[in-house]
Amino acid sequence: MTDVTESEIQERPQTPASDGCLSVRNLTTVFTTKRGTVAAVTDVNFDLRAGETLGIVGESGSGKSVTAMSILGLIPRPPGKVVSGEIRVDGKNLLALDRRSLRAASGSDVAMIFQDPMTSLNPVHRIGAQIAEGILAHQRRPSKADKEAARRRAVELLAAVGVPAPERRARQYPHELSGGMRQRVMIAMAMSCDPKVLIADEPTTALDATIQAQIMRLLREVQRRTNVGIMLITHDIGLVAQNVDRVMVMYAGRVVEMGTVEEVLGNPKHPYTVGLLRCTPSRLPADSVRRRLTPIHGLPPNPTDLPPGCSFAPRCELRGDRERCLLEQPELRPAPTDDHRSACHFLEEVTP
Amino acid sequence: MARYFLKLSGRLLLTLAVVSTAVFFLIRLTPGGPAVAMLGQDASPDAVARLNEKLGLTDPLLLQYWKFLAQLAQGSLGESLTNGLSVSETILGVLPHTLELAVAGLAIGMLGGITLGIVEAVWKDRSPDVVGRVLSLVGLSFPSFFVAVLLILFIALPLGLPTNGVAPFTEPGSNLQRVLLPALAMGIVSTAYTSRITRSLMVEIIGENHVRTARAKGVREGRVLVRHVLQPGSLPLVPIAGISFITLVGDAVLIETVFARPGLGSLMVSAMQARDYTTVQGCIIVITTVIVLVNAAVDALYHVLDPRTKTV
Amino acid sequence: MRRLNPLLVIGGLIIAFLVLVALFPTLFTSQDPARQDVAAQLEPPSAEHWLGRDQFGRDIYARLIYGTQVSMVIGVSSVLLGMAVGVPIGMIAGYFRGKTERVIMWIVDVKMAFPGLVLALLFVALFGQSTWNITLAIVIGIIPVFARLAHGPALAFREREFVKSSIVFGARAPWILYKHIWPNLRSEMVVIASMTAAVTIRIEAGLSFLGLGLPPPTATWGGMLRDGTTYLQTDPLFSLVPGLAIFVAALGFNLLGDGLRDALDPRTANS
Repeated sequence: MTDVTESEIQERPQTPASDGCLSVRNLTTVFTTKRGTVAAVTDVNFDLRAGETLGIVGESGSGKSVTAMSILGLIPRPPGKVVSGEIRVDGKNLLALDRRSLRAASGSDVAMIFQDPMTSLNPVHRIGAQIAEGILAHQRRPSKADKEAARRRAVELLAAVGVPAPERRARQYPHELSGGMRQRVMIAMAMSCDPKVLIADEPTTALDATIQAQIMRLLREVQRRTNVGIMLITHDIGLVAQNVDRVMVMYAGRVVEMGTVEEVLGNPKHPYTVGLLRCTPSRLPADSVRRRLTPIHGLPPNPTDLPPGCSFAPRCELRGDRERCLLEQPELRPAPTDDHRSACHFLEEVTP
Repeated sequence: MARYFLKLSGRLLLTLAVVSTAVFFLIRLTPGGPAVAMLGQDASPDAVARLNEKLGLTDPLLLQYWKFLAQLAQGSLGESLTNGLSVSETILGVLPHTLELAVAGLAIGMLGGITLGIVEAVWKDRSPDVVGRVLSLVGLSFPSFFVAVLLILFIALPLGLPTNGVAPFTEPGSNLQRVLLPALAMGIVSTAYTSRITRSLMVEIIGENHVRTARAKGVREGRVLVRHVLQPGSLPLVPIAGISFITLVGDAVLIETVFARPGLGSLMVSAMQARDYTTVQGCIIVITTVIVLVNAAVDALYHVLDPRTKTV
Repeated sequence: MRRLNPLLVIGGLIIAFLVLVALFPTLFTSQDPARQDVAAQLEPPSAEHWLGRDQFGRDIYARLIYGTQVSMVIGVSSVLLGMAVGVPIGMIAGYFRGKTERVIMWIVDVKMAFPGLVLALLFVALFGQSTWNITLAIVIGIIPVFARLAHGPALAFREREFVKSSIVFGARAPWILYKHIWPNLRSEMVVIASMTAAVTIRIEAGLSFLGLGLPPPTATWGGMLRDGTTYLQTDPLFSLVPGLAIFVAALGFNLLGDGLRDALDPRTANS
């Protein structure tokens, strides 16, 4: 599989790096269950700049996917509900939009690709039609000519994501494509309306290792051409180390550490991040020197019954028997600069 | 594709052969045989022997079976034991009425059930769903023949609608009027059944990843429902229509009796009451044929509609 | 902590009441359901005969009470028998695979393609209208239902580690089916059994309605409904009462089954 040769996906003028294309403020999303209300995401804040990749890391249930789904308004309601916060894309608050405008924003401002390319495509429609559908969804009363144009654009997009024989592939059904090919289709579909933000929720988890590398390379290539901001959700630290600019670590629905990838992975300032790194086999040859893998003790907390203090306190090796961790919720604070923040009362004591 | 249809027809013929053979032997191996059943347990042995002679039941069993098969091959189902008429002609005369009834009942059941099921799935766990589910449990508990009695009592009698018989197809108005209530009686129970299956099917599809993809693309909710939920969901509804049809053919036995409609079902019941075994045997074979054909059609339709079988 | 599902409670109460009526009919009526009084035929309801009398002057209320026995005995015992035969057949097919499975499932499929009522009618018409024959006729129709439902899970559990490790330790097939596979099917089968009882009750009523159920003078709901339809215009109560009885019994089993499904489903039970 070669990389993209032609730049079919529209180029957008480079925006200054300081411009935050996505900004999330105080996002809290809850689910109502038979046992009461559960906060899946609590008070999450972050920014994503154009052309930047932000990695969101955490165990399953840590709230990373719920954060992504909240941005696109995909939280099933009931039982879920975004109770507070602001999600701004280029200044527009998605949470304040009505259903129509939110629909108009999904796909065109923010697009998403999912973990399982096998099931994320509709089995009874042709590939080309599924890509074209996303384009047409953002046009008012598309004419015959628009439909034809969308169909042609679908083929161009397939070519742009490195799908060979795009004309033929566009007429095929999802079951006729391999997993890697389907994920390329998903990327083509996501890029069809030139989104400013692309959320990639575990995009390579379901794929073979060799295909993983191809897909990540394709995402970087797409980003270079379109300057899209990418939110990469994953539990794979290796993937983060190689592909992202900044990292956000989540635990039990909260952000516990955030910063540049070098800072967070090289000099973690939260005991959970330290634990996470210790139980990850490193892919970086530099520090793969006979490091022992050590698991984090205990289990993630039950979301219906979170401790009043730090959620990680019961599993934390640093805590010792300090009462403060159990009683007081730690806030994110500079560690020591604003580029690297951690939510640990004793972040100064954290050693990798 | 050709190989698929060849295999399908092979399976059909086999099923048909097994059922007709089973029915043939079942009837002849009944304790005492048909003669005893017809004449009663305390009939004189003489009378039984005479009747057996007359019915050709004294021949060796295999010879009888051979004759039965030879007849069947010519499309004949023998003569009625009670009136001597050709069974196949009698059946052909009433079959269209039963098929009309079953198809009308199926149409009501599928239309009502699919609509109700979709509404329940879309509003899952909210009031339309809760009400719909209770209603379908209630509908599922009604014996169709009791629904028929209720319809006669509360609709047909007050409105002066006809409550029995059929009208020839050459008088569509009158024909339709006479098929409506019986079809409704079948359709109500069928609606309940179909809605339950449709609901669980649609709930499952709504939860699938490709629906989330469509929403993430910014596709309108209405279009998501039609293209990404109903269209993939319509495929599994095809075999459900087949199963419903079979149930309805069984129900026709009761409904035709309540409404005194000439049909395959009422013919079979009266033949059973009169111990007219050739007619019973004929009815069972024809019912089986109808069911087998419907199943084959369902299977073939599914095969043709499924995109996964289109390109291989 | 969890609120009991109201449907489950209603269904359970209906069935408990019907069982009580079937076991102790004399608690509910002192009338003889078979006693005829030609002079009082089709008498309207009175203080002594609450629901009036039928075409032979028999007490309709008493026949309703005694008819419960027939419905419950045939309905419930045919489900239990069908489950007792069908579940092992399905488990064997799923567990042993190969030819056994193909033959069993083929027979099941052929049977499933056939309306249960028609089969029961044929069987009863051939072998006679006794309680045992009617039960048997219905059982034949529902064995495949249970066989098919037990087949899938048996197939799946066969591949699970706890079954494989048992085999390694030398456990025999019947032991594995009984000890490891059946417990995993049990709750689903209880639900299906309850909902199938609603079907068998309606089949029994259908047979009686067509005159191929238990012969007179035994009181059956289906038979009463059949008698009642003759007098539909003059005496609607005569057909409404037995019809409603069939409906309520079937509803009880359906509510019970549906409620049990909710209560036993690990996804909603959240234990």
